[in-house]
Amino acid sequence: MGMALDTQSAESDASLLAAFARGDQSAARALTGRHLPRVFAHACRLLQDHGEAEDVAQEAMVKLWKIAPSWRAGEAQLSTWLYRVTANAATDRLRKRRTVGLEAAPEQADNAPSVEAGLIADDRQRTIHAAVATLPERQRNALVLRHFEELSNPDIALVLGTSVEAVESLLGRARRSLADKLSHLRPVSRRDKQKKGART
Amino acid sequence: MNSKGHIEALLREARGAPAMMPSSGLVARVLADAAEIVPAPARVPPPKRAFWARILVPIGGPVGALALAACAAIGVFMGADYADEMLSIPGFESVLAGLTDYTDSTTPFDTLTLLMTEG
Repeated sequence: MGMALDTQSAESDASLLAAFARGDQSAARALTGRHLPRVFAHACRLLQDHGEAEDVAQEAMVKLWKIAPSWRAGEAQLSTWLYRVTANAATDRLRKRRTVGLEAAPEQADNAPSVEAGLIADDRQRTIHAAVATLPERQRNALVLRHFEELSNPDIALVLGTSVEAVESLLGRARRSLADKLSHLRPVSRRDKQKKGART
Repeated sequence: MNSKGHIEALLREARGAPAMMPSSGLVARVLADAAEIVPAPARVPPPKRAFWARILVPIGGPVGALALAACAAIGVFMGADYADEMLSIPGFESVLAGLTDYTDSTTPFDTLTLLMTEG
């Protein structure tokens, strides 16, 4: 990243937002450094499209700047709020893709064979992400938040606006679906990693 | 390995991929949005002084106003009730007469000249 961002600020999100609302641009830099990478990565995982993920991340941050003056400390966690905004914006984009009938929208593909076809030894991660992208929106949201953002189930429930039980059900269905799609992939064992390390 | 363990292992593997970082262009756009959207720092207007404050401040505040009122009251009281006693003070009448002489017999300019020449 070429732009210097303050990623070390010890101030809380709420006090940074309050400072930003008072016109402090250094608070905006600190908030951007702290949250934009996570927002962007989340959007990338949901959309599987770098350009669209950038747009969604920018939208989410614009919403953050707008809400700053009315942000009430202690009411919600900023990261949870941002995940929700990002997920909603990404979902809107995915629905639009579907509405306009864009070809090869990842979530419509539902084409495990083509995922299989794309299998090559050093392309495993892309294959896993492609399989995740075929999941229905809510399952994908829950799975990405759980396994990539490492949120707890209660936090995921907050982001998705649902109950913890519903999150568990979504995760269960997502895992079962992925198990079908990725049954051909064998997880890399420690021995494989050691072999790879010995070769390199 | 059961299917849950299998999938969790694969997802762990995928999570190990280098994190996708926002480009400097995106960071610049986000900060530009922040600069555009940031509410202008509220200008605090100077506190408007109340009517009585505007009157009292030049004369030294409430204490000054009280002192002024007290002096005026004493002056009125003495003028009304003790005029004769004041005139009986030795030499006071001649002082008054001297003052009235100046004001009665000369023009205001003459009085001014006299005051200036007396040093």
